[in-house]
This record gives sequence, C-alpha cells and structure tokens, in this order.
Amino acid sequence: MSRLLSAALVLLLGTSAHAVCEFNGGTIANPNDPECRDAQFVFTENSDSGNNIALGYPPPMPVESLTGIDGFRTYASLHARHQDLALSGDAVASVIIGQTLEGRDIWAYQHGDSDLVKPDNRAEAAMIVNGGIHAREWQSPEVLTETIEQLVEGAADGNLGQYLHDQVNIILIPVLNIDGFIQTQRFPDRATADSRQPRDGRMRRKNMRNPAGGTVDDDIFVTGDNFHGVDLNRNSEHGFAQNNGSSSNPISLVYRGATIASEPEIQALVNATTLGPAERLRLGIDVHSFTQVYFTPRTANTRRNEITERLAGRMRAVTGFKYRYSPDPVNGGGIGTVADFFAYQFQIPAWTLETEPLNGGQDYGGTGASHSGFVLPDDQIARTRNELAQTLILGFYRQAGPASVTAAQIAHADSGDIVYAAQWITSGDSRTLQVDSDKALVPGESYTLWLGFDKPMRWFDGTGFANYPGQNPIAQPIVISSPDDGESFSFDVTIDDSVWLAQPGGAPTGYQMYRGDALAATFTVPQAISTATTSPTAVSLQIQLSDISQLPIDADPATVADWANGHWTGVEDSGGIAGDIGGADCTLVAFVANTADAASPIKDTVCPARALALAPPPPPLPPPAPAPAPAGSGGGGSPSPHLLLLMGLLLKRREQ
Amino acid sequence: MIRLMFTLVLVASIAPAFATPPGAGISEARERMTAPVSAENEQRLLQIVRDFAAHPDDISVRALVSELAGREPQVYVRHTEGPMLVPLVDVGAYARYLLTQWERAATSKQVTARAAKGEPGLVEAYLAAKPHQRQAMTDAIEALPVEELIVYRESFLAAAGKPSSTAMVAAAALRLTDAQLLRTAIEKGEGKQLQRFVPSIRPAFDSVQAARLLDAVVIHHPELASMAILEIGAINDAGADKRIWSYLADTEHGGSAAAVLARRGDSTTVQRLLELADSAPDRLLRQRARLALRLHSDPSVRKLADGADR
Ligand SMILES: [Zn+2]
Repeated sequence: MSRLLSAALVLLLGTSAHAVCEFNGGTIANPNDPECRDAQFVFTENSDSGNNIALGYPPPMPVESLTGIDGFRTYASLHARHQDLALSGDAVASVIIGQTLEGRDIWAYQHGDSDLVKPDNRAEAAMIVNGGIHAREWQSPEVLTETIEQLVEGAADGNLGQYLHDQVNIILIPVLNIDGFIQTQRFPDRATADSRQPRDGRMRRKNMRNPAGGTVDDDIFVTGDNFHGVDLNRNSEHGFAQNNGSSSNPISLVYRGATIASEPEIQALVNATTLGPAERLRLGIDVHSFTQVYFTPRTANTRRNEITERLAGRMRAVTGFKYRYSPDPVNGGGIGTVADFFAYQFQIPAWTLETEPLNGGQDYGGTGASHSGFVLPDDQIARTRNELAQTLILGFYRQAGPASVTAAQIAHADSGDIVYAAQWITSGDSRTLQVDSDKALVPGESYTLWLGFDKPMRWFDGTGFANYPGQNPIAQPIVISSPDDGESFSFDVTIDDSVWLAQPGGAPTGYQMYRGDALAATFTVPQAISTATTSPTAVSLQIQLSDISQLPIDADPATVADWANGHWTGVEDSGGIAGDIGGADCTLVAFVANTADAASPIKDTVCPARALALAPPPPPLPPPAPAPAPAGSGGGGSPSPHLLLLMGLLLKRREQ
Repeated sequence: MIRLMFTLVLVASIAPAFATPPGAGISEARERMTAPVSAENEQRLLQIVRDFAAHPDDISVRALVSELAGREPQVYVRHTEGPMLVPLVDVGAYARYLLTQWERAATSKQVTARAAKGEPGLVEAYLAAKPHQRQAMTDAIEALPVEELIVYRESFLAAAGKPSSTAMVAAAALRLTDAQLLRTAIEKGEGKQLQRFVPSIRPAFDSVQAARLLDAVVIHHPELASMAILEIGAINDAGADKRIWSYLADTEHGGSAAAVLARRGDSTTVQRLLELADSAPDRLLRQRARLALRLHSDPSVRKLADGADR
C-alpha cells in the first residue's frame, strides 16, 4: 500500500523564487506556459532575493580532481579515475556495458581476479552495485568511486580486501545515467520550473529522452523540454506500469518510459548483471540520495527476505544504525526500480540505498530549502562516501558466504608432536574429512589447537585484529567435550583476539591464505578427567564462531556452502538441519585417554546436546526504524510535532 | 483543496518584505506558532522568518527567531522512492541558520571595521575565533581593500606556520597576489583548508609563479595533488608542460597527468603518447600513455572537461 502513494513527491515550499508552474499531483499542468517553462532559479549560500534560494552553505561545484577531495568530482575526473585504476593495476577491470541515449559509453568495473573461480575451483559469488541512475544524486557516483578505490587499495591487504579480490566478483557501475549527470554538472547551481518541483539543470533526475524522438537539448534556457526524460528507476521489468508507482506522463518525475527496458541505460544495467554471471549474483544495491534509508523490496521468498534483513542489519551497524530500514510489502511486485529488478529477477538481497542527508541541508546547518537534500554540502561528502564504501565492503564479504572449517591440527604444546590432524577435501558440492593423525589427548598435558577457515574471520586494521566498524563477532570458547552419556566431561579453549594468526605459514602457527583465517590456541586437558575416563573417550570440538560480519559458521563443512533460489545451500545449523543461520561445528572428533599410545575409540560426530544448547544466538535485531519523523533537526524545547501528511490529499489528485 | 493551498502559498510568496519595524510579522508569527498545523501555516511562518533576515539588530525579532530555532518540522511529504517522509517546511532549521548567519555577518563586520582603522590584532582574533566565525573572517579578508590588508602582511607571514591559520593566510595571499605568502601557507598549511583556494591560484598569478605554487601543492598536499596537476595542465607554458610530462611517469600522479594530456588534441601530443604507449621502457608509463589516449578518444569526456560545454 505504501508504494501506491509513492509516485508523487510534491514539495510545496513557497520561496521568494517565483512559483509559477501549476502542479497536478506528480505532473505539471502548464509545462508550456512561458511563466513555468522559462522560470529559473539559482541556489546560493546566503541570498534569498529574487529567484535565489539560500542553502546556508556554498552550493557544491564539481571539482576537477581524480582523487577524492572534500566535495564532488566532475564526471570527467571520476571517469579518468576509474579508467586509471583499471589500467594501472590488476585489481579492477573495465567493461563497456552499453551506451547512453547520447552515445556515451557506460562502464562497469569488475573488482577481482580474472578467473572467477575460488581456490577450490568453485565459481565465485558475484555482487552488483549501481550508481548515478538519478542525475542529481551526486553522492551516489562518489560512493561507488570510493568503493572502487577502497577495494583496489585493499586488494593486497592480506585480509578482507584480498579475500574479496581473490574470491568474489564485484561489479560496480559508478554512473549509469551519464548524460543526465553531465547535464546537472553543466548547471551546478541552477534549476528550472519551480522550487517546489525543480527540473533540469542541477535538479535533473531523469535521462535525456525526448518523447518526440531523440534527446532533449542540454540548455535550460527558454525551452519546453526541461521536464522530459525517463525515470530510469521506473524502467525495469518488475512492477513496470503497476501499483501507481510510476507515471505514463512524459513530464512526470517518475515517467516510466514507453516499454520495459526501453532505455539504453537500463539495457546496459541488464548487460552488467551477466558479468556475474547472473546465476552467481548474491547482492544487488542501487545507490541514491537522500533520506538515509534502505528501501528494500521483499519477494515471496521468506528465506531471501530474512537473509536480506539480517544482512541489512549488519551493514546498517557499520554506520551506527543511522540508516533506517524500510521493507516493502511482501511480494508487493515492485514499481519497476532497479532494486525491484535485482530482488525479483535474481531473488537476491537488494535495496535502494538512499544516502545522507536524512531531512535535507538543515542536517548540516543549512536552511533546509526545498530539495537541498540533493545538494549535500562539500564538507560532508568525504565522510559519507567513506562510511558507505566500508558498509558495502562488509556486505560483499558477508554475502561471499558463511565460513567453514577447512582444517584442524592439535599438537603437544612442548614437544610439537602432532596428536590430531584433519582436513576437508572438496570435490564438487561436497567435502570429505581426511583425518591424517589421531592420537590420544592425555589429561594434565597441554596442547595447541590450530584451526583453519575458508575466509578471514577477523578484521586486520593495518596494525592488528579488531572489530570491523559496528561488528562484534561471536567469540565463544571452543568446547571440547565427551558424549553426553555416561561420565561426561568438557573443557574450554579460550578464543580472543590473541589467538588469530597474522603470520603466514599455515599450521601450527601461521594463517593459510589471509591474516585471520586461522587461529592457534593453547589448552590443557584437565587432570581430573583421568579419574572419570577409564577407557579412551571420543571428544568433539564444538566450534562456534562467526565471521567478521557476525555470520555464524556453517556447522557442517561436508556440504559446501553456496547460494541458490534466494537462500544459502549446504549451510547447516548445530543440529545438522539445512538453513541460513549456521551453527556450531562438531564434525572434528579427537579422543582423550590416560596414555598417549591408546588406540582411538569408535567415534560419534553428532554435536552433543550441550552444543545444541549453545547454538549461536540469532543475530541481534536491528533497532526498530525510527518513526519517519524528524531526527536530529530539533533545537529542543518545542513540543512534539504534529505531522500533517499531505500525501493522502495528493493521491486523490495524481494522474492515471 | 490542494489548489487552494497553492493559492495561499502564492499570495504569501509575493508579499513584500516588512517595512521597519517588523512588529506585524512578530505578532503574526506568534499567532501562527500556536495555530493548528497546516502546510499553509508553516509556509507563512517560514516566509516571516525569511523576512526577519533583514533585522538582525531588532531585539524582539532576535528573541522570536531564537524561540523558533527550537521548532520541529510540522509537515512532511513522502519520499519519491518509498514510505519515508521528509520535512516539507523546516522553520526551525531556517531560524537556526539565521542566527548563525547573523553571528557571521557581525564577525565579518568587525573585521572590516578593524581593518579600516588599521587596528592590530586581526590575526590573533582569527586564531581565537570559532570555526564558523573563522569562515566569516576569511570571507571578509577576501573582500578587504588591498591597501588595508597589506598592513597585516607581516602578521600573516608570522602566523602562516600555524595550521589553523591556513585559510586566512591563503585568502590574504590571494587578495594581495603575494606569491611568497601563499607559498608559506602551502608549505606549512593544512590541506583541508587550502582546497578551496587551489582553483584561484592560476587566475591570480602569472604562469611561471602559478606553476611553481601549484607544484608546491602537489609536493606538500598529496590529497590535493590531482587537483593541482589538472590546474597546472591548464597553464599554457613550456615549464608547466614539462612538469605534466614528468608527472606522467609518476606512480601517484600519472593518472592526473594523463587526464591533462587527454584534453590536448594536437598531433604532437597524440604522437608522443602513441610512442610512449608503444615503447616506453616503464610499464606504468606505457599504461598511463594508453590511459591518456583512451580518454582522448572519448569525446563526451573531452567536451565537458574543456569547459566549452558549461
Ligand atoms: Zn534516486
């Protein structure tokens, strides 16, 4: 029902700028009236006189700089930057995915090695992020560019960044609507029509489609075409021309275009999904501004929807939950947005990410002028793009899949003699545990447990292991315990930051491929067990850890974790039940005996009931989305606001 | 209903600014502050606050604006993409902006008055000021007559070593077209404050001086280096040209140099790039030459970058 209302955003702000277009719901009733058609206004820092609109901060001007500055870069600079990153190293490759209406090449950048397979020869997961679909939303290309920059910078970091480079295929489209973006940069402080619903110039949203054929011109002076263009975020298949979420009127802000994917920019986006290839996609995000929220389609697939919400929760945690989570009605069908396309077409977690600000320029001391939310002050953009690049990178890492144990080794702490050694051998979709050594753990003796995982489990911040922003991964002790029957016993191996390995070399003291993908922890088998255990007793290692994003490990490595039909496959919980949560891995079974040369007993590989009871708590629910009311904008002291929602009224007046 | 609302808004927006004193506005604002919530009411209230901008010295206006600064938005509209709401009108935000703006204007006025009398202590006052006041002081310095500003030159030079003074010193140096002063600000200053002055260097100085100053930016402020190289690239001078070609081989700066060379359409540049792309001994240099050629072949990028399309 919410989407029914969403087509028309009509800001009624009366300013001293002329307000001369007559609005009729989402459309303008008199677009060809010179009073409306030729009206222009100018964004200024402090002047409200005449046709000026004061923002309260300098209107950002596009800056020529390839590298990130305090502000927004020109398209030429951004493009040169992307191309330089692609040509001068091997972390990212550039691909032309199509051309805009005006014939400009649309580029995607693929981060990762070229083979698209992981070390175990299985196909890599793929992620796609789209930027710059709406011309005036300058934050978006900056966020995409910063993400590419951080990925390139991290590609050899020996930790999370290198893992993404080696094992994930990340497709980033920094600017989809290049024609529109360039049009906004031609007129960085000007717009036309009306301050309540500004059009063209800095406030162009749509592409440059002229419904009469070809493209609209790129001046904003004395023309009737300032209102034209297709809203590229209504031109996709799912929900196209449904739910009143778009308009058939070519001058509407949400004009959907003549047919599904009629626009070459959307065709290019569809092409980009094949770079995954499509069946490997696991995450799709479309970056917009503003209102600081994740607008999230929900399909009929409950597991997909729940995975999406948990993923969004961990990503929102990176920015301290200041971004809200706004899920669509379940199986609402979409309104033809890119996020709808990602969600319904591929059944992957997907959303429209709306960047800062929450309310508008007033969040940074500005006047709060109408539409100032599209004009983030220069001095906020570096922070915003950094935060969101970090957020996206965590999402890529998490959707790469739940970690699983690859190998284990237990060696005597003094002699170094290997007591237990096992590794999982992958073949197709399954793995078998190959036990290379299986001798007794003796009460009173100390051992070092080395465990390897198939992804980095701790974040290395450059100097040491730390929590990734907003994350607090599970670090429960590894419990070594006998079966529940008879004289049961158990003891713990403490897990903290000191156990994770930052030096290479593999077992017993080094990591496998990435810092933090293996741990080494010393423990002592309690002497008291010798009296309880008269015969060799099997002990399982209950490993209950989560990755950097708090995603619990796959409890059973025997089935290789993957993604299909909108959920994880081959991921089991502590009870061995397939699902999306993971759990405690109890597949490694050693034994305790009073003499080192005792023979191994018959073993049981099922998690003891105690481990089941210890199953990881469900990830913390994100705090409820704040009421869509004012946050941080109040000066205090005034009574709580009355909300007058104008949309009910507007709905009655909208077109169609 | 909607149409009626617009009519009211239109009437409000063409109402003339108040003649002094703004007493009528104050009493109307007071009524509207407690009136039932409506879009029209908020619109009108905003217009009244806007009109108060011209009365920073009126005590009752100030009191009312201070009071309104705490007002939460009352009326919201939906976001185009989903069920979120953004304020339609935010009277409180405008009032808060106005209070800051008045403070800044007063600060700026003080600077102008002090300079007119040649009073000492300008630099000290700047260093003691809060960030938003510093911005106002910098703005005032940029507008001072050169003969008033030059009196403070030695104190600017002495302060140039303090990172907190960068914006003030750079503003003064550009106003005075003083290359030595600006160079000191660049060498000792903070990049964040320097950024907005970088595009002003080329128009303010002759090509030799400008290239040297921009080169100093490249050396001392890596975060501004790309910006400075693109500025150097726009200088029509043999020395600047030599710098660009030498930057092309630089690991950090090669991309920016390539972006500069990509904009040159002359056959000499293109020929030299082709040769480098083909046979430069250094792999990175070959790649940067290829980058320049690739960017050069993209007319849409060139068109915007030339500025011909602005
Ligand atoms: Zn958008």
